[in-house]
Amino acid sequence: MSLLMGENDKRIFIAFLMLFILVFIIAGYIGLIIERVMKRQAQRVETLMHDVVAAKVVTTERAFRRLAIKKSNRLFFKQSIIGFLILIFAAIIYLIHSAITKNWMPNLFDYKKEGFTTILFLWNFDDPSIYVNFFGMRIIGAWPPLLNTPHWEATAWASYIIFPCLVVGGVWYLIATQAHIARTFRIHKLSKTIFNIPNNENNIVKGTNDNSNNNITNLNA
Amino acid sequence: MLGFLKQFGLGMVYILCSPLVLVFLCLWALYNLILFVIELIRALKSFFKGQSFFAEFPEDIEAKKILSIEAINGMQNQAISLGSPTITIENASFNIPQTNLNVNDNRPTLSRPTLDDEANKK
Repeated sequence: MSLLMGENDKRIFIAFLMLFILVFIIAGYIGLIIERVMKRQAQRVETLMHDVVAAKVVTTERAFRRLAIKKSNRLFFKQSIIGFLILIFAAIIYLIHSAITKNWMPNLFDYKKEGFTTILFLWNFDDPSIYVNFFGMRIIGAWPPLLNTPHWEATAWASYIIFPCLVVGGVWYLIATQAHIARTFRIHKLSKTIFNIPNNENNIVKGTNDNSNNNITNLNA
Repeated sequence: MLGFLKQFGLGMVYILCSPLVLVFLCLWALYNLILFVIELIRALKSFFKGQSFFAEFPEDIEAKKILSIEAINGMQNQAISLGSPTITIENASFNIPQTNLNVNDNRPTLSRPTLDDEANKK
């Protein structure tokens, strides 16, 4: 097998390499965004625990962790309830539709009659003519033929409601879960440090500890 | 260039770890499903007991009490200190002989008496 590349092969190789680098860079940025979002979500612990720490109702690591986890769980419930209601709504629509049509396994991805994809553009990636061989690898080399253009189907009405509801409700629930994970990590980190920091340097206690009398008595300043 | 390489490396790490992260997220989501049901039962229980759907934690009630008492005390102290001879001190009617004479670098400086000094004097 010859390792010499033709002009066309070189071009494909460079395009492939650039695509490879781009994918990693984009993944890096997505990871960075998720990290920042989680940091912001975790800051909710400070708000939840501010009063009890400032009033010294909670004074030990264990008590802090227990109460913070309880509060975090309740916050998760509050945050995810809308997502759950959307999912329940989708389930009700599914039950009604299935009871009417007697079809208990509707295909949400059917592009001809009853699926949500009837209103989407679809391309045929199964067409063998669009693929080329590159160093023994089978890669896509041409734009695939159009399989479906968006059109409304009366029989797919349930899919038009169920599919978006499933996506929105699912993403809502996953975001609430992500926030819950972020808070749990923050709780464990805070519980180990919060009672070791002097009050005037403690972000949780700061603010309420700011005694206005100090400004009056401190005339030496 | 270093930032670019760092981003590239991070991207590689994220892609390699993504299956593990997804598994972790799915397991946590399942755990949260149980948590949701427990919280729902707890909230319903509280509701049918005649309390609010999300009843306050006893620790929060206690903290609120303590903080409100502290706030009231703080306001009272502030009012007392504003009505005290501090105002006359501010108007420079304090006793000069009572002032502290600090000698630093052979330069005498005057420091004004604090409220505590005034209180001690009385």
